[in-house]
Amino acid sequence: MKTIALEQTQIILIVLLVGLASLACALSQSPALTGASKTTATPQAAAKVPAPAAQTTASPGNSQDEIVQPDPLDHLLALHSIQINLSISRPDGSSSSIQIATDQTGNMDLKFIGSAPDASELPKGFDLKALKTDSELLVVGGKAYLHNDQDPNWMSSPMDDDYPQSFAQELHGMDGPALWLNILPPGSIQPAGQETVGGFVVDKYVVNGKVDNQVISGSLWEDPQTDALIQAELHVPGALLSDPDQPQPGELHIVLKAQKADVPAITLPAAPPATAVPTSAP
Amino acid sequence: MKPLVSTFLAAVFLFLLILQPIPAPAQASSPLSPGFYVGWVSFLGRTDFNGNLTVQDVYHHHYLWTGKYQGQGQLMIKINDAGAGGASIVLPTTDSLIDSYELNIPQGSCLFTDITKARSNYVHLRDAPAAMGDTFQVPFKPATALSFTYEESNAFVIGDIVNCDKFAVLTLPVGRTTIQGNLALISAIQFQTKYHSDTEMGGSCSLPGWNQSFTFPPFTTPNVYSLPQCSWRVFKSGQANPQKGWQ
Repeated sequence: MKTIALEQTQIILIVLLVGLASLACALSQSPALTGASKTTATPQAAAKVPAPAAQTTASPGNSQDEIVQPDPLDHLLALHSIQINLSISRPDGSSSSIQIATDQTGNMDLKFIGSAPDASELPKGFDLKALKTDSELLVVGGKAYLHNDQDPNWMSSPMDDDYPQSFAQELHGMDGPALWLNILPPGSIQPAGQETVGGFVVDKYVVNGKVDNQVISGSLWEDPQTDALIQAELHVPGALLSDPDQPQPGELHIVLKAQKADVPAITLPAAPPATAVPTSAP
Repeated sequence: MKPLVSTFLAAVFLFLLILQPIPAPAQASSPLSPGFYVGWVSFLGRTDFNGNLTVQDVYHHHYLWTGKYQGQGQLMIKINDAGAGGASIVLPTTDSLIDSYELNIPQGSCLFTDITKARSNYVHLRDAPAAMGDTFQVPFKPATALSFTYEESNAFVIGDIVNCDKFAVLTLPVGRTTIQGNLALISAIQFQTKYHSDTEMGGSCSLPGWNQSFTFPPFTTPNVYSLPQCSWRVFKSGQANPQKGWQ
């Protein structure tokens, strides 16, 4: 039987395709072509301003911006020699978790575990076993490197130059505890004594507050020394994650646990030696 | 040489896909209860293309491109007594693109799939106070804060076709370019207020310039950019935490 090969001419076309796509991308981001304004604020610059363990920065004296000052979740992320586990299950049944280990210098090893994608959206014949649902990031000197088995040089190019900032922002979204604690009315968080959890002597609080007639409940544990959130368990009704006229059933369940740990130094593996380029004699 | 036709068409398709114009957003206003609100914003944007091409009744090409752009983040709104104010967003976005190509010929078939994932952590802090009403918007440019988190190619061959796997690997970079280009279509997120009270407000949202549908010859099926879900809801901020706390 005749063998059909996808050969050299096709490979050339593929390269052309990639080049064309890159060109199109560059053109599409040109203000002259897209009509994009240059006069808008530069939020990225604002987001990158270093602030101690803060999710972002703000102008002083502005009450709106007080919400983005460092909170106990930020203070937790600033701790060193610690392990943190954040598990989330959502009203739609999906779930995810993040395991964080921070060494004594602040370098981090993060493991993300997510739900598998909907198989119906994958093409027929796709090998589901080949699809990873977890990923690992090493954060060294504030820069994040994505562990990639297919790229031997993954440790040479960071995917984010200020990852602690980005990570804190991510944890302040719908899946994190801070957003929901922010909206509770006065009196919703009551002291419940002291406990020792994860190697910390902490103040425990019981959470029980109503937002739009929906009860957010749970507990949280804060370290009075650092004001860091050491543990939290929150139950957020699914109705608060949807329009009031179309409340979804179920709940968002957030479990955060931190503990002191002697985390071994986190470093990047050495990059493989550069491939030798053969030289020809003159 | 016939498979080259489809490769070229894919390149043209990609070019058209990225160069869509961004229309100017609109604004409106109506009285809202003064205060500081905190809550969430959530959206799912999709691109869907499912195209078939048969050349000389022998070469059957099937393209299936699916992009999912999902944002879930925090929205903060301040309204002052004069009805002016502004909105801030902290809006991380996770992006995934599954590009699948299948070639069927009498000698066999080559199916390959490229998967690219990315995320964008976009932050916009409130600008100078502006009129707030039934419609307001903030800048949202996820393409400017993009990092790629996952790339995988997967090839499946039946019969005597070789280099299918190489083809899959070589086209993998297209995923990055496509995600970058698609996110570059987004420059703002527009909020429509559907309900508001003294304690909360919310409604739907949109990404100006995103929704569109176009065909490109010789395919007859459209490439559809849609926003099946975009909503937001904010609540008046409490003073609950007894510690230095959340305020």
